[in-house]
Amino acid sequence: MLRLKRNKETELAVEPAKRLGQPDVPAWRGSSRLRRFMDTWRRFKRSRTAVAGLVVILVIIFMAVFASVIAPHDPYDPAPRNILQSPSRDHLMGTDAIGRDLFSRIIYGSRVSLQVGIISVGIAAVVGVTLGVIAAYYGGLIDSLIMRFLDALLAFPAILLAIFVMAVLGPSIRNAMIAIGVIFIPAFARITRANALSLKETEFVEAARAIGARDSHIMVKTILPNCLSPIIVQASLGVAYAVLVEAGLSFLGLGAQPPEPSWGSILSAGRGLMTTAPWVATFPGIAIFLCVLGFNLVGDGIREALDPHLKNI
Amino acid sequence: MRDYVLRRLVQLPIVLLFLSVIVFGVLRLIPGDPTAIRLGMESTEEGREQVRREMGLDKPLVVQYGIWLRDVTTGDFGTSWVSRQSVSSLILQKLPATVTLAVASLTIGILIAIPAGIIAGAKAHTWVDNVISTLALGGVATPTFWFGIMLILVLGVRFQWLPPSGYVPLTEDPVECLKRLFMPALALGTSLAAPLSRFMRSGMLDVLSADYIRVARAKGLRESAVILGHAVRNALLSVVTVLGLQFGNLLGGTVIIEQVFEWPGIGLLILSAINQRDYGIVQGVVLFAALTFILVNLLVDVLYVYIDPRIEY
Repeated sequence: MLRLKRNKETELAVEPAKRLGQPDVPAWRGSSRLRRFMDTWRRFKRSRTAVAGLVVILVIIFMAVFASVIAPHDPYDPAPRNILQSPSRDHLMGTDAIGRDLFSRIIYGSRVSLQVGIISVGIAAVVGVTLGVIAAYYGGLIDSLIMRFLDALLAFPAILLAIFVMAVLGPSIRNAMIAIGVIFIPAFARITRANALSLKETEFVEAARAIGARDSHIMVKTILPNCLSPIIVQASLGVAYAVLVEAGLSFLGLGAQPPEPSWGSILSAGRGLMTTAPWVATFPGIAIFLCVLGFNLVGDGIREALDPHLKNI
Repeated sequence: MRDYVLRRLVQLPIVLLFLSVIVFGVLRLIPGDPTAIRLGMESTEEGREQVRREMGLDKPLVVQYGIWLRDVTTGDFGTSWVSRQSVSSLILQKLPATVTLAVASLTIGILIAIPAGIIAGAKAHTWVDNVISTLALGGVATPTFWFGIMLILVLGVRFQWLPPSGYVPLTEDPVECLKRLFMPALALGTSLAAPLSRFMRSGMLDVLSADYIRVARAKGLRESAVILGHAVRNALLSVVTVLGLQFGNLLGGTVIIEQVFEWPGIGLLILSAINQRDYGIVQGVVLFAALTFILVNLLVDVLYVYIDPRIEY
């Protein structure tokens, strides 16, 4: 914690000096952002594990986008003659209880996982960041109310809260996105609030207020861009966890509904086939594992690239 | 310090109030008529009217909430909509199975994570650390239910060393109970161990760079004495808080693991209630779990202040 603070102070101390050397402010802003991005990217590239994670994610995104081209079979088409075939050249991962090709279903399953992962984290980020900035900016009673409400959300064990919301809304992928989005709101709000609180006291926010900028303008244009980095890290790690929770919900029968191929629901079907067709439960688990691992590695990589002093975690 | 504990105690009722509003309010979002769920398809308008009066649904929402809150504070967590049994008695009935599983998982998790984290931290950036850190990273990405199914596949189905599922109370047959407990507790325990060992490792790294460790080494203490006597004790402190938050994952994890191993605890209770659309039970169990989680975390935070005399809030 201490290190992080020191780092921010030096950063703040350096910036005005840099600004003095640049006469054209708008041009400086653009190129500086690009330069900062390239700096981060260079540090990110240095970590082999982070790059490996990025490759895994890109492969999964490619699978999801071009599923209809890559998949060798129709993921929905039952083939009564091909029931529970073990992995072979024609069916790389075997077939399931009604003869559907497991490899194709897992390729299509990446769509569900990515969709739920990204949209649910998107919902959480939009709501959480908004609440966080508002709480920090206005302070006082509004801050207390928002934070106590979020504490109450945090008081639920995450998966249980998702199960609760799913139980009420009914099982479907759209509802899974909402449920998972809800459980992530407090994390985004707290991170944003913590950063916005320290930014609120800085000179450039004071300057913005002095020239008569509206509250909404200060929050969106001045405070928000400066607390983006921890939000990005949180989003990447959040997608990893969201994929895991979606798989869990679908495994319990509360997420994707048949015949939709979701890694969690394929796994759930495989649970009953363990003695006859162990591959049905094995492969979707590996897919979930790789996807979650990929987003975790990238999240850790971004965190280290953005803040080289935070090596320990 | 006393102020901090006091502030937490003052905040507690506010959080609990929000929590109760969420648990009560979310349930009102259910589409459809709750009396129809209770009576089934062949309900008459008169019958439904009577049930509505019995359930207090004919009163204004605020009054309904007040009555519900009064019941909850006296330990009445509501009744099942289907069997009309009291939820408190159902929870008490299922609690021993869940507590057995939770305690065993927590024990396994701590027994793996703490030594692994100590070794990884003490031997940072060596091959031992690399192996442990890689395993921990993989552990975080592994879905608990998939690991559980793989355990059943290998130990239960392939080698038939252990019964694949089911529960026997510890008091009835301790040996049989431990046999059946081993796999679910291992699956859940390792999922707790993965993040915990990472925290322990980073805690060790933080402590090992402290001045008092250098002093201990400078006065000629053996390395084992430095690590075990000075570093571990201090590094454990930071893990204590994490343990409280992990309790939430433990609660959520039991729901999924109980489903995998057909372990008749609170998790299976809420899942079967969801399937039967028995929202009385769902509401009661969620509230119970959230209250337990809040109390455990409060306890951990207060405990933390007592363990570490340096902390002042």
